[in-house]
Amino acid sequence: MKFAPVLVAGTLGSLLLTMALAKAPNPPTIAVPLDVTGVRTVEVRSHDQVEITIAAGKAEMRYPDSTRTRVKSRRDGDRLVINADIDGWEALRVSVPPEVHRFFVDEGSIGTKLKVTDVEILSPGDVSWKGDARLLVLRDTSDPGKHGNDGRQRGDDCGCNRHSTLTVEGGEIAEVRAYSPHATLKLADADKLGVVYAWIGPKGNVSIDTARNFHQVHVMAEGEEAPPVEAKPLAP
Amino acid sequence: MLDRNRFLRLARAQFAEQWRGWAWFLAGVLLLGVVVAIFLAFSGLDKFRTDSQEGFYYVGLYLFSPIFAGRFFLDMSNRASALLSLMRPASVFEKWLLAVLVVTVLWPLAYTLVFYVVDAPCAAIAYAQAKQVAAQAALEYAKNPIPGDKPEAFRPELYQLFVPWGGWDGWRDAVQIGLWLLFAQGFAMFGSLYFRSVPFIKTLFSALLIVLVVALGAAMFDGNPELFLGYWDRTRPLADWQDLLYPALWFLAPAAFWLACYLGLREREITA
Repeated sequence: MKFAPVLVAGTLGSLLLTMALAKAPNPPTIAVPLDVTGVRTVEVRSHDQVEITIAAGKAEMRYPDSTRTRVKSRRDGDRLVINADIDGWEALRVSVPPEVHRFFVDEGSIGTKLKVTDVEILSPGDVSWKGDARLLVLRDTSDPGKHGNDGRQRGDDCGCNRHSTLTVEGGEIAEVRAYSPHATLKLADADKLGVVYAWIGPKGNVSIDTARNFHQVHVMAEGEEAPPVEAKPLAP
Repeated sequence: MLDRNRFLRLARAQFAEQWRGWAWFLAGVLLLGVVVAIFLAFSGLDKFRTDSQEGFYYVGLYLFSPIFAGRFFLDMSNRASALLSLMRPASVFEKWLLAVLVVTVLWPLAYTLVFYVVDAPCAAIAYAQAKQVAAQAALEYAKNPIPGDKPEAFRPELYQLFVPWGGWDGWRDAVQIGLWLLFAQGFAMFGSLYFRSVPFIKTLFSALLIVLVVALGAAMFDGNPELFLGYWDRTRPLADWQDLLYPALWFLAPAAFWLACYLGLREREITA
């Protein structure tokens, strides 16, 4: 019997099985309560994935327990600023009450299972929203100069091939307003959206995944005004 | 099993027979290094920064080490030369031990020497040029200061001559590099012994097949091979059984390949 090929086959089989079945155990996380009394704006500065949930109950942030993780929070008037450097295998999860309605994130997702009134999300990167709201405002805050819209050339700084994506993943939203000179506004379930106004500039575009009609989506010209927001309450 | 005098005679015979082949192989590596360096010289000084030198060193080491290991028993792919090699008056263990020493000790040293023949002059030129460029930029700025356009000062630490252990972040990096190298070399050498015709192509094809099977298996079972492959520089906590199994496999796999080389050599001797 040739033992060498059997030994190699056994070793390779063990390696392949180990790698194919490798799964990470649930990581230990640290939960830190947040003082959000009087806070209306949450700003998260992090290059890692951030998940913000608007929920009733206590405000807190959760992140993986790792020696490489650094998270600090501070108050700045009615603004809560979180600086996070998360070890790359888990997102920073922040939970805030519905009184907070303005969010700055480098990139991430924001959502709720409540019915909230007004939400404004500002981000220079990819950001998504999921949940019911009366008014959702998405603002792309990336530097327009990097995309050559202001006539300047920035050479290596130009990120024209890396346009960010503003995504409305779902939820019944009476009105969506999106502002970006170059982002893609992605509407995953457009039929649940009352009306959408998109100031997306000449380099931006709107992407609709599923819809029975498109009449509620309005691509606006620069400087064009949208009708004022209707102050109708959300359906219960 | 191991006779010192017989082993030394075997080593002398092996060197006398194969040094030309090894020298040509090193010359090929050197030539390729020179060509790459010329291309890089045209694409910017930063290509010879310390971190870039490290990248080129390890890419070359991981690329050429298995090729060299796979060529060590090249004469086994030809029946006539295989018979001569197998009939050499030495035990299988001595032949295997010589292969281990040449492939895992002498080859990395020879490769490192060849790397520095190309890298050291390039790094010295890049250092001098970067220093001169920074001095020139500082002079121009002093003559005509433009607010917000102050040039960066020369940072000598970015252009130091690379040393193989310079970028290691502790013993774990050394273990990972060593085990990867032993694994790749053992696999290549076993392939050269197991496949009797076109062993290089078949070994390469087998390696590609393994990568494909791992990717498919991970996709089917929703596995994360990175947990195992990145075990030595992980920061993510693992389960206790994973902390036992993964390092054990990291050590066992190269050991099994090298043992298989010994067994394969013995089986070739019996069946030749």
